[in-house]
Amino acid sequence: MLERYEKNMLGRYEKIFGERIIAPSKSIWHVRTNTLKISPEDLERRLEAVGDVERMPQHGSFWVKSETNLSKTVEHVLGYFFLQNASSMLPPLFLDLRPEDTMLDMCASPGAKTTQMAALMDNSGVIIANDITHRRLKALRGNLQRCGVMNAVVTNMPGENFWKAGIKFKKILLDAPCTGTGTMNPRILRETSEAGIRRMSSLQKRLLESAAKCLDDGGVVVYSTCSLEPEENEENVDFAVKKLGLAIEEIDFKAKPAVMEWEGKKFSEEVAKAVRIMPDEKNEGFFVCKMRK
Amino acid sequence: MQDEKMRSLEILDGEAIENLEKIVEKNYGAHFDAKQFFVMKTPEDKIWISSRKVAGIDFQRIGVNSIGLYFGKIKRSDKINLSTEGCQLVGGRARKNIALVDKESAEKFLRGGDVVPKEKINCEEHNFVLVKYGEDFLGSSLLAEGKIKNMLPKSRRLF
Repeated sequence: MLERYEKNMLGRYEKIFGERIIAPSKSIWHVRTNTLKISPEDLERRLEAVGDVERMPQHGSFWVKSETNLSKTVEHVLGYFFLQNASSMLPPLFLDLRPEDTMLDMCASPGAKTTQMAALMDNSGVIIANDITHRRLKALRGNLQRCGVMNAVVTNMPGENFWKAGIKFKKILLDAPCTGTGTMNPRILRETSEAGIRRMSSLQKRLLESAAKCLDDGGVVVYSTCSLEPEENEENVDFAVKKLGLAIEEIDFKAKPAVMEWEGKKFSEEVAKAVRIMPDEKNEGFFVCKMRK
Repeated sequence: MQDEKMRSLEILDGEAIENLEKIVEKNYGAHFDAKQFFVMKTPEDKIWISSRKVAGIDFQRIGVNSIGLYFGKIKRSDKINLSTEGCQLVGGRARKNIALVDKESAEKFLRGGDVVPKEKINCEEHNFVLVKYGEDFLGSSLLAEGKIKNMLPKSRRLF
């Protein structure tokens, strides 16, 4: 039986999106090839030995139906792949990363996107991989090492104060800490409250403000969350447009339209360019927006 | 390499990097082009490598916790115990100190056990060997009395 809060959240989503939201299946593994160590073709052959493999639209990534715990395989220990939800592979793709870039990953732990970006940059250039908590940095460092990442400098600063370092970037990923409701994890749905959503939204705005200050003129920040809440997504994009003066760029990706109005607040027309991925049988919910200074 | 250790980090110059290449060559018969990297050494002789562009970062302005990839640790008599990633970087060109293991031993090794190699390629006793199964380099450990004494860190084991 659904707990009260879980029920509340599902009811809330029906109100926001006008439809019932379903949770992704737990029996499908989402695998991203770590091309710094192995080719997608070689990994696919190996994965076929443990389950049914289906290629994702994202190059070098697979859905694997398997009873085997893929995190406990030789290939995982050797860093040949990263277990990362398909939706979460999208934000780095919109940064148009090049090997010569110096970029900031403002909230990097546990490093799924950082390791993906290192591969996209062919282990060249520099990724400043920042996170605030020491405990999360341990996971980040472990994943960077396992994946053979050489171009990351791990820093330990509050993201909202990162601008004080006075370093400017042309490309920033702000994969913001969030309620995580897009995962449709029952525990998260039970524990998420409206007050919690508001607190998170406020932190995200501070992070966005810091990211905007760290951007070079003409630079790009990709903002993402794995939350379904308009307060953590569209409302923050609206804030970035109206208060930070950022311009929103179109993303070439077919997705559900953004929420343009919520709880009496009407958002900027620009917000419509954001991408909202709804949870389905395979994928977690995600929100991505590309903004330029 | 973290926090306070960052402050005592030595950035290797051309000569020191060449010396590192010689150590890798001597132990594994492999040419490892370390000059393409920004190379650092801790007071414990642990070697870290990163992309060259990292050299342009002003570390004083950001709270740096770690830089790049742990490559390995230089031991007495110019031996070097490579990390799993160090093994994978060097392994493809290595011609000596390679211990081949079978599937069963590979799993045992990755679970932290000592194993006996099924074949040794130019291996020296009491030196570090690259442990290899099929195409995979699993890590580096000490060969002593014909056995590979497991030195794989817990964080890189199968559980």
